This record gives sequence, structure tokens and C-alpha cells, in this order.
Amino acid sequence: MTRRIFRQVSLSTPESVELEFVLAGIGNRALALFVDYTLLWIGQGLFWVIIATFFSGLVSTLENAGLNFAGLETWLIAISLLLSFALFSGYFAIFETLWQGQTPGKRYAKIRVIRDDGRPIGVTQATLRALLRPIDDLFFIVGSLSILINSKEKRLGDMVAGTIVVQEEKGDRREKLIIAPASEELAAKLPEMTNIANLSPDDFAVISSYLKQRPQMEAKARTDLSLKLARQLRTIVGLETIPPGTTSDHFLEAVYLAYQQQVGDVSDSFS
Amino acid sequence: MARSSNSTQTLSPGNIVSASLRLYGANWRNYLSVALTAILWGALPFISLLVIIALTAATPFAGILFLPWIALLFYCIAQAGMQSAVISRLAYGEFIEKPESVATARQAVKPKLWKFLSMALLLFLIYIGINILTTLLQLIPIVGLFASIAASLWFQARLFMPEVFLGVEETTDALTAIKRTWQLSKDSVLPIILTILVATLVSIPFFLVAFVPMIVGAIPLVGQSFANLSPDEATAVIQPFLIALAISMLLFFVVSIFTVPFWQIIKSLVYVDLRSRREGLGLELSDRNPNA
Repeated sequence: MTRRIFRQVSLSTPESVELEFVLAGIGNRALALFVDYTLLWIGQGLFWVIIATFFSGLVSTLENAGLNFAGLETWLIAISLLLSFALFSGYFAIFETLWQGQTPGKRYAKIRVIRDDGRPIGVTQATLRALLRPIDDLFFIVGSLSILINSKEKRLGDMVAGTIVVQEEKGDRREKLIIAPASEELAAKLPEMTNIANLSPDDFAVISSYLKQRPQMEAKARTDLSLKLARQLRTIVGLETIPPGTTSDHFLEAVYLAYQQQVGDVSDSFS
Repeated sequence: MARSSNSTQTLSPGNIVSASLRLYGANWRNYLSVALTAILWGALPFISLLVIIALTAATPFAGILFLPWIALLFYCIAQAGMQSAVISRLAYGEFIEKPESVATARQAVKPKLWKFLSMALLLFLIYIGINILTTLLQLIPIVGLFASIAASLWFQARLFMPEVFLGVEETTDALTAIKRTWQLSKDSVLPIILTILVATLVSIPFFLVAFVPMIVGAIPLVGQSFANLSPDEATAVIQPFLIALAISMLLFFVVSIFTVPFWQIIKSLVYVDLRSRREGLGLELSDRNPNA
């Protein structure tokens, strides 16, 4: 599914290691941009308030001292504009350098900038991307069209800096499942009572997904699905008599544990 | 082969938008042809109304045509809704890897034609209620405007995709479709609002393209003083701008046609995502004989 719907790239690192990445996609990049720009506009607002307060204080101090400061205002405005641009570009350049290719928006959207060869980006790449950003982000046109057309979803800044934007690996792989003690007891007995090896890795992935997703599921849908999976599973592993007091969820948990213990921790390769 | 890939169908707002664009790009011919049908059905009541008004101006007897026009209006509403749902159904089929042809999808949705009318009427009533509520909210000083915007967004998220339920599910009727949308979106209001926001951001460039002729047409007018011009000269100056404006409007309409499938695909992916999360859609064990 993922393979077909999202663009993938495989990169070979300088050490000739093949790495597979899922490209960030225009949706995640737009989301990240929205978050970053919201933060930036708040930041710019604060910046101009502070600058205005500071400069008006400066001007009134100079006036009180009776000094001649003709032309100062032009300088002050020029300096402020420069600082404002530095804040704009600096935000992206500094975050992407310090957070290894991420900004607050990218972190929220779970995406990351990396170099074309898979290495983390450095200050050079982050700066080049930030400097070309005003052109890319102008009305969203240049950057987004470029992302849509380019096979590696590169905007101008990515082309110049030699970078790509990829999705972060899923962080919930090591998520601990809550498993009832009764299921653990049952799991210990299952290898003798059933033929766990009949279970395919795909079936295991389905059970694992169910156990992970069930806390968010609607009560009725959850009960129905749990019963349906347990019934099918009972046939697959050939369990003849269900131990008394076993619920369908207990059985699914027990099969999950028993399979894991038999095959080793394989959940990572299927999630 | 078990559909293990289906066990992880939950998507983030950004991924829903990217995936929708990818699906759109891969099947745009089908989606666009259905979208065009939907839009023509949607436009027919307006065109026919204009014709009837013109006829009535010529011969007052033509006024009687308003009665069949109301029937036509209802039929067109049902058709436009149904055709939009066909796009969602096609996208759904692609996403769960059981693709359908346009003809098959139409055939499957066709028997529910009048349910789309009931749904449109129900939604119409619901939205009247929502509008009354948001208008009342605006009366509250200071926070009223924000509260009313928040309420509108919240309702939009809760009622985002009822037509997908009608289009995809065999036994669902209009009221159930609305209830199901409401129920499934209960805990996902923020992700749906973010999806709508990201989809809007992504479609901005295309709408901006539509404004290009208008902007180009307006350039000669900059700094132009109309004070010393005769009416004829003023018309000559402003005419190119009006033509550019008309081109922009036309482009805007064309871009809108292209965005209809985009939104219908997004709705069906939100549907898949919510059903995966809340109902475990796609969590199926491989169908096989264990002893084989």
C-alpha cells in the first residue's frame, strides 16, 4: 500500500549501503510549512514590537541629550529589515542545522531533510535551503509545483543544496502492548495445545495491529472484530477446546505472545 | 497473499493529502470525467432557470414551467451528489486495492440515487441550524467571532464525508450516513480540520494561476487617471481589463472542476483512515486452509 501510494527513494550511502526512504509528500511539507510560518509570524510580531520599543527609547534618549541624529531613522529601518530577514532565514537554517534537518513544523509533521546520499544535513545545506526559500514559498507556487513535478519531490532549495525531504521512521514500533496476566498464562500453554507455526507472518501482523489499535476503537466494532479474528485464528492454529473463562481478546493476546516467543521478536519487521 | 499492508492504513493529515494527489494523478481521466458529469448536473438547474426566466419575460404563460423546474432541481441535486460519491467510491476501491471501473462504480451507487436527495435535504436543514447557531455566537462581544469560526470548523469536520458512506457501504441510508460520519469523526476533529487546511494550502497555487490574467490585465490601469478621459476613452482603457477578468473567472471555474475529484478523494481517504482507526477496517486474516 505505502509503496504504491507514496514515492520512495533508495539511496546508496558513501559506504555503499542501500537505504530506503519514503519521501515526505507535499501534504506533510505543506503542514510543516504552515506550522513553521505560524510560529514565524508570531516571532516576527514580537520582534517588531521589541524593535519599535527599543528604537523609540533610543530616539527619545538622543533627543533628551540634544544630539544631532539626522538620517538615523533610515539606518534603523534598514537594520530592522535586515534583522527581520535574518530571523526568517535563520529560523529555518538554525533549526535544520541543530535538529538534524528538522524545524518545529517538520517535527510536528514527522518529516526530515537529509542529503541526497542519506547523510544528515549540515549548516551549508540548511543555509542554501533557507536562502532559496523566499522564491520557493512565493505564493506557494514555485516550490509546490516543483515538488509535484520532480521525481524526488525537490523544491529549488533542495536542488541547489542537494537534499531531499523524507518521512521519519514510525516512532511507535516499540510501543508496549497491555496484555492481561490471564493471557500470559494461556500463552505458555498454547504451543502444546495448538499448532502456532500455522500462523503466517501476515496473520501475526494483523493480530499485532489489532492489539495496538484496539484502545482507539469503538466498543461494538472492537467486540465484533475481536470475535471474528479469534474464531478464524482458532481454526488456523487448530485449537480444539477453548480453556474456560477465555475471552476473544485473551486468546488473541496469547497467540500474539506465543508466536513472538516461538519466532522471536519479529514485530518490527511487519509494523 | 494476505493483505498485511492493510493492517497499517492509518494516515496522518499530510499523508492523506499527498496520497490523494498521487491517486488523482494515477487515475485523473476517470475522476475528471465523473467530476464533469457531476458539475453539469449541478449547473443544469441554474441554466434551465435562466431559460425559464427569459421565456417568462416573453410570454407570462411560461411561468408554469417553474413547477417542473422544482422536480428537475431535486433530480439534479440527487445526480450531482451521486456522481461525487462515485469518485469517492473509485478512490476507495483504488486505496484498498480492489479497483472498480467507472461503469461498475456507477452501477453500484445508482440504486441509491434518491438517498442522495434525502441526504442533501437533511444536510440542508442541519446547516440551517448550524448557521443560526454561528450567527448567534457572533453576537457575543470579542470572543464571538472566534467562537463562531471554531464552531463552523468543528461542524465541518463532524459532517465532512457523509456521501462516502452512501457511496461505499451497501446498506447505509441517508440518515445513517450522516450519523456514521458524526460518530466516526468524534475523536478526530483536529486531524480532519488539519487535513482540510493542508488540502486548501496545496490547492492555493492552482487558484492563483487563475488570477494571473486578471493581474496582467490590471497592470496598464496602474497610475491611469480617468479624470480627463471621455466616457468612450475610459471604456477603451477598461475593456482589456474586463476581458482579462472574464478569462480569470473562466479559469477559476476550470480550476474548480479539477479540485472536485481532489476533495472527493480526500474524503474517501479520511473515511478509510477513520474506519481503520475506529473499526479496524482491513484487519483481516488471510483466507486459507490451514492444512493446505
